[in-house]
Amino acid sequence: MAGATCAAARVEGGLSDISLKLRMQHSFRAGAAPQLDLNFALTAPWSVLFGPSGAGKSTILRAITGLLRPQACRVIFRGEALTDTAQNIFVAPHLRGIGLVSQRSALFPHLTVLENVRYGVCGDSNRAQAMLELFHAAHLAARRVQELSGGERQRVLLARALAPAPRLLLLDEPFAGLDITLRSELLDGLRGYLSFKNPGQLMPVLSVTHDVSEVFALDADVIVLDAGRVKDQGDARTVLAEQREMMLRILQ
Amino acid sequence: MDIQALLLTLRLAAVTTLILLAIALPLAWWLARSASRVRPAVEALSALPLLLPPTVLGFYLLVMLGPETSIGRALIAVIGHPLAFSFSGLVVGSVLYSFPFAVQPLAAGFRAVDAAALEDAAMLGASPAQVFRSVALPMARPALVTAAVLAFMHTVGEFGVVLMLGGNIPGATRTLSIALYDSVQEFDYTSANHTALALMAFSFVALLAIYGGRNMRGGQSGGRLV
Repeated sequence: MAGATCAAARVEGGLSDISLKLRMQHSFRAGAAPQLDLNFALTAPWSVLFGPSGAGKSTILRAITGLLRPQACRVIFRGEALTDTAQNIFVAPHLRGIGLVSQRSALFPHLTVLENVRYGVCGDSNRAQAMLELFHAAHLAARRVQELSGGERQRVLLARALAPAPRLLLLDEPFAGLDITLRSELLDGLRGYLSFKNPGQLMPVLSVTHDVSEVFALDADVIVLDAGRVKDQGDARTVLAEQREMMLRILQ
Repeated sequence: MDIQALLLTLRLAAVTTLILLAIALPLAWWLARSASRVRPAVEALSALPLLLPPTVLGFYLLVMLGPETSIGRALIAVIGHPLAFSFSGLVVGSVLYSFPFAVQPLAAGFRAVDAAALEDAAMLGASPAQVFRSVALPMARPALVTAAVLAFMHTVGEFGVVLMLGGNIPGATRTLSIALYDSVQEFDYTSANHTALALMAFSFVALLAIYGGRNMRGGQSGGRLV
């Protein structure tokens, strides 16, 4: 089965600028007051959206990918507008060069593991194989996806998302429900990918979690969300200390 | 058995199925994905032949394609003869009559395709057309087989529309089911029996193709009828 992206003209931005600016207002029912109303900028190589379930984290990621079109939204990545409702700018999701792994992510059931991973790279098997190796999944290449365990599935999803060398990686709780060993193995794979890339082509990562331990493990810039608003932003230790009240609520 | 009628029936069913799939694929995809307000109306309209007596459909087509209406007269001016009582007329009738049998399984099959897989394909750089071709279509393949077999067999078995619209012209509009009816009218039960047996065997093999394929695929959703 042939892959997809061969002829797609990707949006290219500056290589060293990795900033992502987002401003959006969105309500899930038409005509209601915006349940999501936020404005933030990310400049760190790894940022985390942190907040209780229902805070709007997944919605934000979907707005960045373009899979969701909020009522009012502006997404500027590397100095370039991907979405700007005020100016009627909307770059189609498949042209944004964004990688996404979410809890909803599905492997293509009609393709093998290797075919899944090379879907986004014009059938480049070498590249796909290298990605699988990075996540210790090379031995799964010929498997049907129905035969994979939950952990194996997650490895393949990450390999598949990274194969086309996305300009930005979005992770929507991809480690939820996985045991600690597997989680740190996947993170190692991810760090391996980030470090062997050409330093001039930084790929920023934005991940979403409601798990406090994950925030500390990532040592990232944190944005704290609550009820559709940005509560705080900054270094994990400082920010989370100030948000103790909400953390307690999450832990309960 | 009437070999000429058999060949004509197969030709009619094949042409009808090809035309139906060409129309039904994009329509079913739209029905499965669209949130448009006119969707229910389109869906109801496309399912109408399911409930409509075939003679009703045949009657209106006969009137519409004949020289009494402006549509019929325009058609006659373009192709030189009335569509009624011709093979092309039968194709038009069959396409309309078997329409739901192609659209419904396909729409159900497309609805069963995991939306997350389609979004993932887009995130990997696939354009909407590529998503359809490389993900949606292969994932809905059992439904495609079902739609093709049902459309084909439904056309093979149709009677009312053919009788109304095509009459009984050997080599042009005399299909197997008409030949069967004829044999009975003439009390030629032996010949009728042969034709009926052939039609029955045919239907059984077609269903075997659907269910056999479904089994081999490990019970993937096939997109059932209605």
